[in-house]
Amino acid sequence: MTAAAVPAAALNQRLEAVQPHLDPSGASRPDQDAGTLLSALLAACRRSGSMRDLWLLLVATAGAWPDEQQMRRAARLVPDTGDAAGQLRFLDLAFGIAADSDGGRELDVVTGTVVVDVDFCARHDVHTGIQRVVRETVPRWAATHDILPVAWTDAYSSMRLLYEHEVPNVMAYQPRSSPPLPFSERAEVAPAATRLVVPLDCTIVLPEIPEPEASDVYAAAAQWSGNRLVAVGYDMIPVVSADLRPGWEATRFVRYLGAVKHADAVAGISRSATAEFAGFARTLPAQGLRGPRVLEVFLPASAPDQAATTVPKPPTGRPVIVCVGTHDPHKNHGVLVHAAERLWRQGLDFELVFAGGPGFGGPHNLCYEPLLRAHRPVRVLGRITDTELTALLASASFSVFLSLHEGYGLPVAESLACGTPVVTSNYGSLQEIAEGGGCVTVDPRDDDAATAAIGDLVRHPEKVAALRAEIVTRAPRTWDAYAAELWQVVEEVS
Amino acid sequence: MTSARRERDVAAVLEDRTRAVAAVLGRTEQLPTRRTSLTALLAQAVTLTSRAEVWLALAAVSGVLPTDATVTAVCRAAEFDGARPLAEAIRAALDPATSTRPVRIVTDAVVIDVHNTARTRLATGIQRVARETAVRWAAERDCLMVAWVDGFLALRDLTADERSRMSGTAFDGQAVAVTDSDSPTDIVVPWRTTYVLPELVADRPRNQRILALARWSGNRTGAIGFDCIPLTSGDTTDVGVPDFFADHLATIRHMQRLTTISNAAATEYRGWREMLKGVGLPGPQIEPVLLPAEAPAVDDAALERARRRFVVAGMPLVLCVGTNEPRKNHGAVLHAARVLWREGLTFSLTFIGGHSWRGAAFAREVAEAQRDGLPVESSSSVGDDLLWPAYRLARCTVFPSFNEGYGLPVAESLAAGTPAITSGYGSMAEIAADGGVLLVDPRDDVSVVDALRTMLTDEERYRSLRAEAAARPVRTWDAYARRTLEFLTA
Repeated sequence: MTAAAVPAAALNQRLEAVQPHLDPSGASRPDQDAGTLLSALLAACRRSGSMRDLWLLLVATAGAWPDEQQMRRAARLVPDTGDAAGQLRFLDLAFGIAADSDGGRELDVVTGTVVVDVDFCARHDVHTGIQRVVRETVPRWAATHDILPVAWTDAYSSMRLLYEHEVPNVMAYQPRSSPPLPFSERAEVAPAATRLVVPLDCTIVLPEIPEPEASDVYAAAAQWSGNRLVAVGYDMIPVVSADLRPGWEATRFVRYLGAVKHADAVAGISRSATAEFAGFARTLPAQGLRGPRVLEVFLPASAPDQAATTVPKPPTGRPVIVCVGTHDPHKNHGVLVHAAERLWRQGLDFELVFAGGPGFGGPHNLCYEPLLRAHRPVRVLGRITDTELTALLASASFSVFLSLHEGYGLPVAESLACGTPVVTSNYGSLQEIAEGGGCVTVDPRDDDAATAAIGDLVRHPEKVAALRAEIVTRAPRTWDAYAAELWQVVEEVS
Repeated sequence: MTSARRERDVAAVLEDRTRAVAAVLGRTEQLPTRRTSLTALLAQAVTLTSRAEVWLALAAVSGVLPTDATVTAVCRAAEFDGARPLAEAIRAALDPATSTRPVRIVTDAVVIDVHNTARTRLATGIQRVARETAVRWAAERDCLMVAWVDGFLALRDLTADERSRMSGTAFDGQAVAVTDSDSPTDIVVPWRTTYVLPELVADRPRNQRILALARWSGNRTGAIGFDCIPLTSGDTTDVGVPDFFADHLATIRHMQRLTTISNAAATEYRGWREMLKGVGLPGPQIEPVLLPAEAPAVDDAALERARRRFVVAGMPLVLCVGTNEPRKNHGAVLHAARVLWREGLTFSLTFIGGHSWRGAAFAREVAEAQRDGLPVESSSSVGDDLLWPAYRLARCTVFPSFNEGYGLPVAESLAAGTPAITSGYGSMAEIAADGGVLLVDPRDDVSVVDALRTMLTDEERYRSLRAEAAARPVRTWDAYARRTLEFLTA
């Protein structure tokens, strides 16, 4: 087969693959060329006047998903595709969509299942908040339900099946000891290995935040493809707390919101994430939209290293206060640094340990530097492994996490899972986690309140002990329960 | 000038400014009368535990408005090291653009920030609102219009040029490139007064300094809220717009009052305010005041000029005003016209409005229609002198936008007595409530086609729509300015 014949053959395959869904009565002849088939399928679209049919035909013709503009334009072209000129205009539009894609591929139509977009986890060896949710939830679903994990083509123009080598990244993740190869050194994926996926009458679940290009076409698919869309809502930090972020995240994030506003349901990971997405949904009547149903499926709290069986035993000697998290401004570690300096000056004796990377601002002018210069008892560990983190948290008297904005607040949950009390913020998701016991909450914008709460625990080990006792009584929340409740949401829209 | 001499001059300026701060705070008597160090002076002039007073000292002594992080850092450091960190922060902030200019602490006027509006001769929706409103506020009571020093370091008085631009009425669509250093005016520091922002801030440094002002200065603060489109229809805005808009949202979290230009805009901002549960902040009080629309008188000569410019062979003119961007849904308008031309109706279609982001596809569609011999044109940079007579000449206007904070072209069309077709929800439906409008579902091409057909063929319905448009109650800029000022300064 020549290079040029590959896309043409793929076009033929794609049109044949969608034909049963568009024109079930039309007989498919083996010698039928793409032109004849397209003409018949356009006629079927004209007859049905269905936007779902049009979406399907555009995806098949282009080998790529259309955005909202392209769908509207196509809908206006369809009535005139009875002649060659009209069909050429339709092809022209489809080629415009294909122009941004990465080559002619074959496709499979999947019907009546749950399609889960795990693109990022499939491709990357990163394992923080969102990836943890995906890798805990999707394998649990796969064990008990019929689901199809999918990714996107490199141009983010079409959904595709996972490559074989990507499956373990999602279904049986093991943190790698060595860093992954750079893209340029990875094995080429054979063109035929890429099979496009077109869901029809499916529920599409977005447990990750899709790439902006995928978001744009999800917005169109959610409106017209007939598939249902369910998103996991993590937080709105890029649009609510932009003053504390680098200044370019909102442009990407609002493209995700463009898909969210046409979704059927959003499952917020906490009370505050739910309030944020519900607030967004409440803006939508201004543009004549109802917006998604927003409800809460609260994340579980688990230890960072679940393999480690830690037996929390109260640490002895000089109290160790641990602060876990990047040094991004919204994490608000400055209030802890200030409170600690005040307390040392009052004569209190404790050690302060920071664990976490420098954040988007880079490794300079970090808030703890004055403490190091003053030779205060401070240790800065930077990024550490989950095993080290578990050991650190277990060894701490208590931890402090006074973030200004969190969708969930993993460091609080992890500290509690290690049996270690936490001083944390008195609103949003952090307050919500704290309500289960073992925490002291304060206004993270109030230096005096933070100082008082931290000082109180340093001065009164018996209060720390009481908090430890509370932790034991916390109602356990498991990944099994989370996965089951999230699946419930998926079922309800299906 | 020797460096020692320059050092003495700076020291003298800082001392004078610190004494001015002390005077405003009622502490003149506590200050040493003889020359002393800046640190010693500040220690007497400023309560270092008060973030408001530290904000004032940073702003009025350095001549540069501080950011949130600076105020917090100085107050924390002051607990251990007294006034020295404040003095150091002031010296570190000094900038040649403001270090020698007079600083005036304003305590008795409403301070109105019209930086963008005063520096442009453009008249976009936001600039039109800011200009019409700020000028009326300034006439009503003690109001002071201010702009920013280059680089958004500080607020300052307007220049004479800027003042005349604010009170001007004719705009030629030209942006004016000026730097304020050409004619430096006094630095303005508002203190225990009201700061009002009637425009949208598109610059991160300006947003950061307004945020600190709103959060720490103790001034009452308020703004006009136009819409949350970069958040709620962000996929239809240009790259970067959602970023500065998110900065704007972060800033107004700390303001007390926000007046929105429609109920729809209030719906958007109230939804946003609900999101603030995630950051434990209440957000501003929000009250909608629907914008006015007043059509200026148009004389016969202007009407004739517009007739020659827009009317094609005596055909009824259908007008669509607004920038060519996906959110405005111009594609549906052109499609409706094509359907009706094919049905045999006779009319011409004129789009008025600049090309905008992603307008290329629509421009191609217009060109294609022209090649097909259809009477359609798209014209940009049409001034007010042609726009207002065009509204009056038109059979009707069409504006089936997906999302608008207000929908100015609908209000303007109706003020000119011309019936309009617009979307049946949001701000456009609010404007339509007083009559003269056919409502459509902008996501349904057929409903747009049907409405336009009605406008062009159903004479009885058309006459009653014209009568409704003529009978609409007039909402004036005077009334709008009065209500918004009352709310923002209450």
